[in-house]
Amino acid sequence: MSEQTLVVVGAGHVAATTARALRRRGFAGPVVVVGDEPVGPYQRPHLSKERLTSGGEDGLWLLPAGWCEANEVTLRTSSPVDRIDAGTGSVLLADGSAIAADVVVVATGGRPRRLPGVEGERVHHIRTLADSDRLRERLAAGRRIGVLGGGFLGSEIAAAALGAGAEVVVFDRDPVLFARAMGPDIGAALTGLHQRRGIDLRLGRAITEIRPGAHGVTVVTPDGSENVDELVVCLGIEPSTEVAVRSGLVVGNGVQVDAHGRTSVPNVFAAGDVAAHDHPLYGRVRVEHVDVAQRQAAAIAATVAGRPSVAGDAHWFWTDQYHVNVQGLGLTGRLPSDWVVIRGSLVELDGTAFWLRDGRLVGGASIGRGEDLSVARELMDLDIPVSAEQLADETVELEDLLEQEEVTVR
Amino acid sequence: MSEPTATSPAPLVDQQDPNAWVHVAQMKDLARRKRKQVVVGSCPVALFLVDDEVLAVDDTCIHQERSLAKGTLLNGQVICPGHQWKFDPRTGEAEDQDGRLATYAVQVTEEGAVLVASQPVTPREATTSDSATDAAGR
Repeated sequence: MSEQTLVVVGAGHVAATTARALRRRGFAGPVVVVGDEPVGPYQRPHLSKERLTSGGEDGLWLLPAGWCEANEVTLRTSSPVDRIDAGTGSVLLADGSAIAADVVVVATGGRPRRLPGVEGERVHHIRTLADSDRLRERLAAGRRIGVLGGGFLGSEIAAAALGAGAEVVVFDRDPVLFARAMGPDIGAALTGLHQRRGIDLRLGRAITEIRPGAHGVTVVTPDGSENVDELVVCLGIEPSTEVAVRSGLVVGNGVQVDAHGRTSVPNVFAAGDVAAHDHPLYGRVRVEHVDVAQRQAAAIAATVAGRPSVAGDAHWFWTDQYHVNVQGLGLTGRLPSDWVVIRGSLVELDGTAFWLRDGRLVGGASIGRGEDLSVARELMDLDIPVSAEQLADETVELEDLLEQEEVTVR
Repeated sequence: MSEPTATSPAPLVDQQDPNAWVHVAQMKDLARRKRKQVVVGSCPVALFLVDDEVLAVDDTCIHQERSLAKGTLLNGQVICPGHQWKFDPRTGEAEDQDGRLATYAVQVTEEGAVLVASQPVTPREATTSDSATDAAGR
């Protein structure tokens, strides 16, 4: 049987991880990455961090040209895709050309949510490298930057703007930042961090009107009007499912895939921000974290290379809030009825929150304590019972808990 | 090369002797968690069990000096718990940054003793990243 050709529709993290993982696993067939941007795959987390603060390229590119050449991976940039034609086994580009494909991975990502009428020279949505570079030019001392939405992206952009010497106002409808994503304890600690750093937080208020103008944007809340020079809208993304829809794939909140990442069409997979993945732990869920995209991509590559795999690990993500590293593990599956235990001190930015259910860990979130989550991941994988007292007691080494396993009769 | 003693705990060795091996662990110590922090001379070294092979690199991350043995192993890469820097445990190279961890030769005896060479095979190189604790290197 001749070698199969694999084509990735999209040129982001999924494309990069898929290409690397395929080669690492000995897949020898042609690999083609097709993206609509004029550049190859890059580190999206950099767009709200180092690329935004310094404009540098260190560590930005995921598939350097030299690697692609040495590994026979073809990168097609500025090449929007129309659809996948499963009948003829090809990926059809918008320019009318076709790329023969035996296996396709749909990784078209998402696009920023936009509010009607909130557009113009002073409005920013950050998704691509070009978006980040355009915003960076506007961040300077003395400028007033408004950020709509204080989630992971918005808070990182606020920190970058502050670092550039700008005044920063963050609007969020929730009274505590990050509470929905990581619980109220972590949320309170990080909200306090931003306040101490000098971010002007306008929390717990709905926006009644936004008026973009040629020289700035006016944001109206029940408390009054706020004028900013630039407004960055950070309200999450919608999955880019157009290619999937035109290709006849089943789509819901994203492209629906099974545990292995397969879509409703044979030999077509999907992964990353666009994929509604049937996760063994959580059921069908679409997640917008880089690590999740990478694990999905790695599992698809392993499957294609002959070793069927499932991205079934607990979801893991991180965010850098100024120089504080914050991580979340397994939070997708937490329930309001779970018991929350705190280890260390969150307000001092050195602690971990754990979620317990029936004597087992289901998730954790740490501020400055990635090590705790590394052990938590093992405790969860090995299904080891733990008590709230042990988790809260800093004289108890979490690693020692790995030794305490219930004796099971086999 | 002289036959290493497999049963005694870390023997006093001449660290300048490139033939010196240090008995740092047993394979069963690695079987479950696939990682272990050990000390070679005065240097913390992280052992990782990747696809039945024991690899040894500096334990101290080149970024902000966290312990890599307290991190995560994923797809054969070591991920630092501090800021998620990724390292290839075979080469010590950081995935998206410059700089590298020192790597050490490892041998495993028939009895399952894990021995690490007292001198690195490839050197540690500091990173030039702005956020590194000690950008100039040790």
